[in-house]
Amino acid sequence: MTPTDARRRSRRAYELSRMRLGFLAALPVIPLVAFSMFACGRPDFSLPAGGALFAVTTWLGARGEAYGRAIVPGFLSGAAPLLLPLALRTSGHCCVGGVCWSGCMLACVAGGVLAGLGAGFFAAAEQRNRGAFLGSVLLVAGLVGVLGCVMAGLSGVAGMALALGTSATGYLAARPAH
Amino acid sequence: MHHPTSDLEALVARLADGDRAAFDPLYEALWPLVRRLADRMLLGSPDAEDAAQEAMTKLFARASHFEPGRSVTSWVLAITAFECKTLRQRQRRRREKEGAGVDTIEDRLPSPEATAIARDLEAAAVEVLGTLGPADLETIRAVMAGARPDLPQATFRKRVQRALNRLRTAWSSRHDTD
Repeated sequence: MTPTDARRRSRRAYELSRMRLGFLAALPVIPLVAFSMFACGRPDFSLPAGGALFAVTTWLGARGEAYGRAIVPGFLSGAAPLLLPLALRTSGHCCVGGVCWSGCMLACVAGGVLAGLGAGFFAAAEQRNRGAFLGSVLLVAGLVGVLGCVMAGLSGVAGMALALGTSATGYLAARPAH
Repeated sequence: MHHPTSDLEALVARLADGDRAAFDPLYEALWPLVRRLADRMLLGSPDAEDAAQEAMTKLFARASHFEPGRSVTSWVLAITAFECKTLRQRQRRRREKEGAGVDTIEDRLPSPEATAIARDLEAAAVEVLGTLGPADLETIRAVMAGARPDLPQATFRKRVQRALNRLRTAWSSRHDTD
């Protein structure tokens, strides 16, 4: 084996181990998708969102650095929009100023706000490459949130995503760093 | 080129975090050390290069799992020693399968008992080296790599003496020998 081949082999071994690491980091997505399918009964939404979340998490874990560090904060932040709509799905409707919203829809928006605040909080503590970290946390949290907000349909997902981005930006603008 | 242990630890930590820019400098820093260790353990056999390349592949495959604060020298030594042992075992098995006529490293050792003793000594040396401080490990590594740090000769000689004395004391206390 030439020195170049040996170096290439070492590099390949390193990249494979990073892929394995990313794959392991993405394993919790499987029970989340199963939970979403069981609780929301929308496999047509849950499966593609879960697949995207699995792929994104694997890539972030393999990429490492700020991207890899964003996985756990992303899952933690995404817990709010995942669980709130499920908790409030039987709460009926809420009417404000003549406009009525379903409990699920409001829970998605509230969950998005909480997730955005969480993402902003974690990003403020990140010293290096904050932009990449925040983007990755928002992506993971958003996809986790989609798994819960599928029961509110596309409008719930859109409301959650909008609230997520706005509240994270707002948090960071108000408190730039820890 | 001689790299201080702290530089090596920083490079391994960066690679463990996913920083690909640390790959090439770490490869350059580790290769001479691993090559020389394999040469010594395999008594200058031409297979030493294969063992060193295999050890480098293993080192980079496990770099993502490197725990910060652990001694890089002990880590490198343990993996290289393991690869050299594996190569010897493979050669012995091949020799047993094919019969006499294959020149192996073990042929050059005085007897099977001596081979077993050499193996045990290697394992014991790796264990004892793990008990030394980073400064002593760095000095011993510099001696093994044939590198001379940027120090006056007398100072370096004193450091080598001190490191070897500590190694001797650690060895005596663990293995109850003089």
